Amino acid sequence: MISPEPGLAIWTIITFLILFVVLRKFAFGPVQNLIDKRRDTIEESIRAAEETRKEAERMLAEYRESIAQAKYEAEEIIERAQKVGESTKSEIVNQAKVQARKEVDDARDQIQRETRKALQEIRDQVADLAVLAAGKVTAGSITTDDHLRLVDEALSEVDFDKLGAGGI
Amino acid sequence: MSAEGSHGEEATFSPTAEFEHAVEPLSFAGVKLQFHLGPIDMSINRVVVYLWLAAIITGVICIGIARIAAIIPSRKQVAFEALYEMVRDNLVGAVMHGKVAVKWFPYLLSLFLFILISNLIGLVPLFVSVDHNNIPQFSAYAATSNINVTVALALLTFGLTHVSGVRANGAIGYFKGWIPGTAPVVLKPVLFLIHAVSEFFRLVSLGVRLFANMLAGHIMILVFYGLIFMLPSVLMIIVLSPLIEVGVVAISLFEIFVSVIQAYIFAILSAVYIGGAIHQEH
Repeated sequence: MISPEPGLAIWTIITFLILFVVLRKFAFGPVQNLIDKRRDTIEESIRAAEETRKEAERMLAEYRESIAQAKYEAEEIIERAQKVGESTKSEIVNQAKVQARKEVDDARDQIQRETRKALQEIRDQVADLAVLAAGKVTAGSITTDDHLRLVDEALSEVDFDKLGAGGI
Repeated sequence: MSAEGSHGEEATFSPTAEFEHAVEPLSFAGVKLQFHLGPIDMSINRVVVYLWLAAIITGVICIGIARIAAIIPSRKQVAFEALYEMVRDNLVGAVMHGKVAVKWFPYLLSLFLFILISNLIGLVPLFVSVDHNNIPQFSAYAATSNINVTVALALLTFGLTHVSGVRANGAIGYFKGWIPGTAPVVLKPVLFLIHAVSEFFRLVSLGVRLFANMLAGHIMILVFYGLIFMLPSVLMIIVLSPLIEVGVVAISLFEIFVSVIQAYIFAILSAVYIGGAIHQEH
C-alpha cells in the first residue's frame, strides 16, 4: 500500500504537467481575459453611468434655473402689464374727462350761438309785426319807410343782449 | 466489494486489498498493459487510469466553461469563477503578491483542481477493473489515496520551491537565507542542517497528509461496507444494513468536505513554500 512505485510517481508528474499546460493555455487564459474584460466593461459602465448622472444633475440644475428665470420674468411681465394697464386706464379716464369738458363747452357755445340767432329772428319778426300793426292803425299817414325807421329806432333802445342773457 | 470470500476457504475481509490491487497492471483486450522504462515499472494500472480520469475531467470542466464563458456569465460560469477567484484571492493572494502571484497562480490552481477532482472521484464507484473471472468490478478509488501520487505532487512543489528560490535570490543568497544572519558562526552548519531536514519533512508531510487523509476516508467507507459482509445472519443484515448505509452516507458527506479541505491545504502550503522561498525573510 505504501510501497514505492517510481513509475506511478512519474505518471503522476507527466499527467499533472500535461493538465497544467492544457489548462493554462485553454482554460485559465480565456477565463482571466474574460474576467479582465468584464471588469473593464463594468468600470466603463460605472464611469458612463456617473457621467450620465452628472449630466442629468447639470441639466436638472439648468432646468431649475430656467424655470426660476421664467417665473421671475413672468412676474415681471405681469407687474409691467399691470402698471401699463393702470397708466392706460388713468390716461383714458383723463382723456375722457378732457373730451367731456370740451363737448360741454362746445355745447354751451352752440347754445349761445343759437340763442343769439333766435333772438335776432325774433327781433326781425317783432319789427315786421310792429310795422304791420302800426300801418293798420295809421292807415297810410305814414309811409312804410317811415315805419321801419321808427321801429328800428324803438328797437335800438331795447337791450336784447340783456334780454337774451336773462332769458336763457 | 473487497470481500474475498469467493476464492478462499474462509471468508476474510481486508479493506486495504482494494489499494493493493490498484497497482496491479491492467489488461486491455487480453493484453497486459505492462511497460518498463529501464528499471522503472511504467505499467498502466488502476491508479494511472484514475490519474488520467481526474486530469480529463478537470480539463473538460475547465475548458468547457472557458468555451461557454461570456461577459454576462451563466450559472456554471459563476460557480467556476467563484472557485477561480477564491484560489486567486484567498489562496494565492494570501501568500504571494504582484508578479509572483500572477506567475504561480496557474500552477496552484491546476494543483488545487486536479487534487480536488481526484479526491472527489474517489467517492464515485466506477467500473475500472475486472475481477479474476473478467467480471467488471465496481470500485471507489482515489488516485490521491496512493502515496506515490501525493509524494510525486509534493516533490513537484518541493522542486519548484527550491528552483524558484535559487532563481529569485541566487544560489548563495538562497541557501544563506536558510540560516539566520544573527546566529553564531559555530552554530551555522548545524542550523543549516536543521533547516535542510525541515525542508525534507515539509515534502514528506505535504505528501503524506493528503495520502493519509484520503486513504483513511476510503478505508472507513470500506470498513463500514465490510461490516455488512461480516454480519452472521440474514436477519441481522436486514436490520443493520440500513444503519450501516446511513453511516456510510454520513462518512461520504464528511469525505466531500475532507476532499475540498485537503486539496485547499495542499495548494496553499505549496503557495506558502514557493512564496517563502522567493521572498526569504531571514
